[in-house]
Amino acid sequence: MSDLIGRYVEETVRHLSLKERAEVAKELEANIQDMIGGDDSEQHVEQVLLDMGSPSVLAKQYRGKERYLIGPETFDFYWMVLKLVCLVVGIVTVVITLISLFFTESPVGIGTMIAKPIASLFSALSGAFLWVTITFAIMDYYQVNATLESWDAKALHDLEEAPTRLIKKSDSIADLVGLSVFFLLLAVLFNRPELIALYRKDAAPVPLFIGQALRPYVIGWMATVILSFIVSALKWFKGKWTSTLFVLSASVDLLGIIYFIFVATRWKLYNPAFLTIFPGSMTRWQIIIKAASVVLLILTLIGNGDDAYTVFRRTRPDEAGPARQR
Amino acid sequence: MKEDPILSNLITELKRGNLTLCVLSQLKKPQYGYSLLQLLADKQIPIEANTLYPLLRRLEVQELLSSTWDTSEARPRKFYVLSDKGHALLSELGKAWQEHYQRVGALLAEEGHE
Repeated sequence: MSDLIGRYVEETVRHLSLKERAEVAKELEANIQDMIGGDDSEQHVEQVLLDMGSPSVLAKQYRGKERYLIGPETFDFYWMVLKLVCLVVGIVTVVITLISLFFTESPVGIGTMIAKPIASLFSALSGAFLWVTITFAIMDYYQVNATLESWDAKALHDLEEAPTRLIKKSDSIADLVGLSVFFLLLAVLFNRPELIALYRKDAAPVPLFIGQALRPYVIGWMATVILSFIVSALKWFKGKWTSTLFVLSASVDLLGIIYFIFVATRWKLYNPAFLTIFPGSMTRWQIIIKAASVVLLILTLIGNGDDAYTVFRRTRPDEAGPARQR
Repeated sequence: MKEDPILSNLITELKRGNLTLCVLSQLKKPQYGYSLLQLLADKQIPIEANTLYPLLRRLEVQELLSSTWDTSEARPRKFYVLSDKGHALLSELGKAWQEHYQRVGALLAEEGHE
């Protein structure tokens, strides 16, 4: 019978933080013993414990607050980001899959043409959902404030103008310059792929890439840079965020990073002789590239998330999201 | 007559707002969980055990109550009593309650409710 009490108490404190457990357990057990009093028949103990309510509800009372994966304060913001990410990721995935199908060496049937984009769309959207949700859940867990900012007279007046949606000219110019330099580097890479190599004193340089194989990919890469350049120019020209501009900007960013990952993971582009010298083996190289890809992707998503926050935080319902404008 | 669920909900809500005040008011002298439960029940303020015990704990964390374990008897008991901060808060909260009670009373009287 007292075993029943012990189990009830254990089950309750299991949901509490470690430092509270012992104290609450001791007190709760004493209180329950008091409630039971002299009559410790199994029936009475059962009745008292049933009246106490379920351990998880009791634990919730002790914690004093509800636990959420994504709390009500953050939910709107989460939902907005989720829709946006899914839209962008979805479009980019389908486009990339279709492009890659066109470039495969062997001919592709119509069935694959339909099935493959759907399959990759599904897996990309699942991934997007997973990562957005995990990110928000972690933010909620650590009480990161992702809600809209304070409500005061200034915020009230900002409602009409939303001047924070301006795009800094200096940012756009930095983007344009950076992209130009990158484009030039790509041009060099296209003409002289063998320049990226391991240079040693007494031997011929060992290039990282197999030049002929790399060239077509570099052309594609240059195309994505040109796209980014156009969007950056558009941002510089408009000087102000709009939903459409954001979608364009996020799309080219994602396209760029996804294309980079796509190229970097074409393992046949790498010179095996180089890889045996530097990371030691193809397997190690693959691990490095995959890790780097994940980091870059996350950084890109954070960047886009930051822009999304700027663009959408005070958008009125009639322009709540790009999805509704279609 | 079967109790209206909306009404009983509102009544529960109404009482819940004053719960902390009731509990604090009875802790000028030390009480442990179950003794306080009985004390309040005797004074027509019944509180569910599963509400009271966690509430005491939270008030302690907020430093409105201080606690001591009494281990002199067969069963160890955790006694709670108002801290200085709790005393000060109780008197303020009591005043606020009186004021509010009078205002609500005036509202009801005005409409001829009773």
